[in-house]
Amino acid sequence: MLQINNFSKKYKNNDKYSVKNVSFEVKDGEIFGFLGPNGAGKSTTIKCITGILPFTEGTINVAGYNVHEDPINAKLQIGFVPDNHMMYEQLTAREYVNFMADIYKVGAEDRKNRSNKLLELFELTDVFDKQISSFSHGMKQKICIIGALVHKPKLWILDEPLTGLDPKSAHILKELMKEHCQEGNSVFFSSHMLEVVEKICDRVAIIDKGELIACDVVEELKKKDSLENFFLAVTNEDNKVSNEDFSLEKAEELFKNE
Amino acid sequence: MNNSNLMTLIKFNIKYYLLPRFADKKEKRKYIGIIILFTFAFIVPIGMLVATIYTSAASLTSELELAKMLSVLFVSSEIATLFFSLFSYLQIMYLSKDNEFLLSLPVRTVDIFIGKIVTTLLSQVLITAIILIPSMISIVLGVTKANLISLSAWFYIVFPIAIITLPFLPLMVIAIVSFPIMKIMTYLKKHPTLGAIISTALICAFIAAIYIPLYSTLYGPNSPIGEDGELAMDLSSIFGIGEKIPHTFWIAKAAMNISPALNLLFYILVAIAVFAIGILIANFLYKGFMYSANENSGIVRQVKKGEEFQILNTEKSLLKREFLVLTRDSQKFMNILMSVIMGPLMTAILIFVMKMAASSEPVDPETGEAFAFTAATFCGFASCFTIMMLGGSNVGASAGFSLEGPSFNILKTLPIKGSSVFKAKLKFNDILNIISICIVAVVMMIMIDGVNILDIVGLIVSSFLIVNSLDYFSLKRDLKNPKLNWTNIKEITKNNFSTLVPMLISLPAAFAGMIIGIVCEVVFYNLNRYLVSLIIWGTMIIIGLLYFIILRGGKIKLEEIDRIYEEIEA
Repeated sequence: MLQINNFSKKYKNNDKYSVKNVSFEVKDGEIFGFLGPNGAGKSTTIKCITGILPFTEGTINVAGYNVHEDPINAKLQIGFVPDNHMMYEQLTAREYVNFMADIYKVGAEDRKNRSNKLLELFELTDVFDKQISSFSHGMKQKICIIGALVHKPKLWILDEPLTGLDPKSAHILKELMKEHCQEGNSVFFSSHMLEVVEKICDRVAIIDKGELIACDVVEELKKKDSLENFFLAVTNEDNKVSNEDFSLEKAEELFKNE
Repeated sequence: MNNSNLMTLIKFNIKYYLLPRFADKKEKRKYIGIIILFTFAFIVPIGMLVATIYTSAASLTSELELAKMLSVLFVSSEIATLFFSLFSYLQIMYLSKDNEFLLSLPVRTVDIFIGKIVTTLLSQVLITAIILIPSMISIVLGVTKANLISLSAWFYIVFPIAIITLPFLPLMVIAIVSFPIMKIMTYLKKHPTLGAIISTALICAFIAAIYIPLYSTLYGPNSPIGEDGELAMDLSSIFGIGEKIPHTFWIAKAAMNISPALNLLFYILVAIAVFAIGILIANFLYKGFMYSANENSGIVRQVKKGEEFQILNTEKSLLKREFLVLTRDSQKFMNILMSVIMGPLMTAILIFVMKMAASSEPVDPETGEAFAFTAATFCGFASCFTIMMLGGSNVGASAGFSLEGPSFNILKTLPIKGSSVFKAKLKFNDILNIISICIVAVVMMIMIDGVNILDIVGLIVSSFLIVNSLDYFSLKRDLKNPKLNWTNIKEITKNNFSTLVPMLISLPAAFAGMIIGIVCEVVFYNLNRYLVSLIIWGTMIIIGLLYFIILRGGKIKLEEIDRIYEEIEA
């Protein structure tokens, strides 16, 4: 569903790489967690996948479409929920969802049914005609989610989706992710909530200082202890392992030494 | 009052609002370029002011007469402060996005208020200094040359005090007057579009209220300007106005060594009293406003039954989004609306003033007819103002992408081409341009005698060609380097080279319109009226086509726009 090969990103007017030589894959029907400390390069990677940032090194393919060469078709496959729920606050929730549905060319019946279902789930039916500027952080997040799902994307990308959601809504979101994948689609999300990632993700990648330092099935990574301890071990400054040298055995060794 | 918090806020506001900040050396060079351009732009009016003051100072024979002249000069700087500060006061005090953030900090509202008002005061002191320092120098030179009056040390002591304190009164007037403006805007928060329209109308009324009485006085029946264009009254009569304004006359007399200590004391006491009372009232109003402004129960916009999930194609959807996002944000809409309204407003004021000036001219003894400008001149000026205001000052185009702010990233994630977004923005500006041009046409039909159908069609076609080309150029320029991380809209509307360049490019077309009108007035006054219209508007349409070819190169270059759009790193 998502293939990233030798992807690197250097910002303009900056000599340092923000992300260097990252390669991994998200399979169909998989919930994939993307972890890393603050400033590791998670958001940069996500922004390049979603088309916000251009990049010149490596390739990113979404459902077979190259993000660089065929951005329109690639973006049609993606539903993106950003970490800062950036949206048009002057619009009402309905206007925002309708705008998203227009752009993704969703038919009237489909948009009505999907919107109503999600509005009911998130208990936002009463505020659908209210201007987004009056919404709380969590409500904006929910509207953003509805806008990202109205076109039933094959790949759902979420950046810190659980931040600001009440426990009920967080539970609903997790259920939605599972349901989305059961239909053959994929979810790619970044989070700092390792206990959640542990529970729902099939596979996980860990990035630090722009380099991929771990990528495997969750069960393998937390064989000895929790994912949190594994994460802390591999992102420890003293234990830097380059991409080329990385192996699960090496990671386990580092973990043993912690 | 917590003085350290207050000082922190004052220093912060000065750094943030007054001092230029540059992302890199390229931006710094651009900023220096803007300063140089502005200096050249203002050299002529400042030069005229300086020359007038020099001549006047050299011709006065007593300290009292010079004091009266100084008083008039001081009042003029107060009027300039009043004129230039209203909009920026609203922006900094009320409409800045950092207000909510500041309220969450452990600082008193009065500290936030004083921190910001000191900043606006300092910017007005700067404007006053720009007017008064050259004036002071020219007075010294004029008086020295004539050698009829002597200047004491008080002159040099009082002038810096005047520069610092003269903005007090106009600033306090604005601080109090701005409150009802903001109250109306808040009350109309449920209809921000209407709120922006009313605020813009108030500002336009404010501008008209300054210009119309001013020019009515200059060109009315009791005008000081005589038949031959020279001053009909002697200088002492004109400067007699200065005697009638107590506070400026006091400081002027102090400068001229006429009971200097006493007069200066009166002035300073009045200035401090005005400032203190004004601060107290304005602070009270400001505090009340700030808390009520943040109460946002949410605006509900019901949809008609059956239209809940209406489908639009991509182009219409993008245009609708453009319209809703810009018109429902009162800050953005007010900026855009000003460029739409200013063209018709300035045209109307100018026609009114020129008609008044013409009516004060004597009757031609040979023909027995009173002098009147023909429609040719008025049409030329109408074209000039339309192009300058719409094409040169349209923030909707010159900052079209910058206005998106951080939400620009939403657009980049969507499966749409950059050219689609570009076309939607261009179309939005086209709609506003057409509305403004049509309003100018209506103004012409109402106020100009002898205007014909060729004038109306010619204005619409030529102006649209030129402003559409300017908008395309401005939008593309902004797309190449959008400024998306702003919190105060001034950062992109005022302190931005991108908004200045279209203004400069519009000037040749604008001046061409004015000159053609005048030339037709003078040279072709005997020609058939329709023929004259054909010459004016034919020429303007040719200029429009040139702009279209040079700035747009004809059709929109979609691939180039797509490429630039994809390469943006927000």
